[in-house]
Amino acid sequence: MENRNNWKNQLRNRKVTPSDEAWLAIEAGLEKKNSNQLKKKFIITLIAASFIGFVVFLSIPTQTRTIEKSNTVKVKTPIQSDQSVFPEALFLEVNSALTSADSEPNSETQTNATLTQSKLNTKKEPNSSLISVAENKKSETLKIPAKEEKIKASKAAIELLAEVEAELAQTIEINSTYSPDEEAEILLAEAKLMIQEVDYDRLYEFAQASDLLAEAENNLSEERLQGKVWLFVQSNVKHLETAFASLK
Amino acid sequence: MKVIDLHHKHKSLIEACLKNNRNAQFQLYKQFSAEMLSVCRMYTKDLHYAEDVMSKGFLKAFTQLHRFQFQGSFEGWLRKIMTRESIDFLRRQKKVEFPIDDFRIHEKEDETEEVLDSVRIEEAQYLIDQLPEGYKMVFVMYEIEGYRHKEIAELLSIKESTSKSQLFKARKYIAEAINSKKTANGKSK
Repeated sequence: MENRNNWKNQLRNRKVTPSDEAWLAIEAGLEKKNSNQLKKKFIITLIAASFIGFVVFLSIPTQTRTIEKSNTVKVKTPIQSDQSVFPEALFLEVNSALTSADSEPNSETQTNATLTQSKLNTKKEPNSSLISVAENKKSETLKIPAKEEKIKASKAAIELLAEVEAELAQTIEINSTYSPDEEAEILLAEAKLMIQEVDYDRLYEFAQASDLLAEAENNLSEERLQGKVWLFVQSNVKHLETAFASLK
Repeated sequence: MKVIDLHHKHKSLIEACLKNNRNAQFQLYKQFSAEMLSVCRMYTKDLHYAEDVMSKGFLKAFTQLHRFQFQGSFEGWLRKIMTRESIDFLRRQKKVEFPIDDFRIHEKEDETEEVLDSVRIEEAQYLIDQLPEGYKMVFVMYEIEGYRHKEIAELLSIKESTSKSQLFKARKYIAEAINSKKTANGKSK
């Protein structure tokens, strides 16, 4: 029996020494697998991170319309790339002091601020109708007392945003239908309206008559006048000389 | 009395391999590579191909090491991997054929065993190499690796009867080869 299974046992227990290349091949294979695993892990984490980022991005616009109340009431909405034409209208910052003072500027700095703000609006968005809507709504929001519930303010802000967006969409549609000449005419008309709406009385406050007179008098002082006349005569004489020279 | 846990003999080494310790992997490879190459060599004629098969087998073993549950011998587990890898290699070579016969097998095991007992290990390997791939696989799996016909049928996706017939024909083939060699030697003397 032992003899019978001899060849089987011999074959089973046989040892054939492999070459060194065999281990090198195994090592290379293991390295490759490790790098593949790392790549897989990286891809998985990348996908997970992008998914989380996407979820966060989706959740932000609905949640973070922040309304801060202290001395100021801020209504912030995220700036979307499609609607970036009108960013100033979407961002309102209202001083609590203004609510009592009916938008009449108390100092020069405040008036300058409002003027620059209006300049920015006219530069970036020539549609004055939109600005007027925004300003109307601004006055509405001013009526909301600062200590009232935040929800009201946020609702008002959202409604305002919706209206502005709707009007913006309408104007975009209208603009797309007009030719460039017609559009220019419309813009011109709007600009004229804006000029008419400007409160000139306010401007007169800054340009005082006494100052203007003083400036004019300074320019018309004797020395200056004499100098100017002398320069004028000199230049004319030179012209005449050259004219005579050419005739000769 | 000292109890030696044979199944868990390589436990620490295997655990280190699971942590992707290259040195431990090399130690494990060094311990079993010669035996595993012998297994692969039985199925594959060319030693170079056998080495390739063994390398792939070890690679598979290292990546699937977490599946080894320490319930049997590690060598046995490794041998199974090598056998399967060899079968896959032969299948990829498309050399495996199992001709279907309906004739009933009247095995006379003792006769073939007697013939085979007289050969040396090198001769036995040579005779196995001469076998067609289908015969060879069944013969090695049954006679040397100790698989049963049912297991062979499952592994090779064939019928149990086919496995039996392949074994019968393999034995017959080897017996004939030995006998013819003997007669040739007798005539030359």
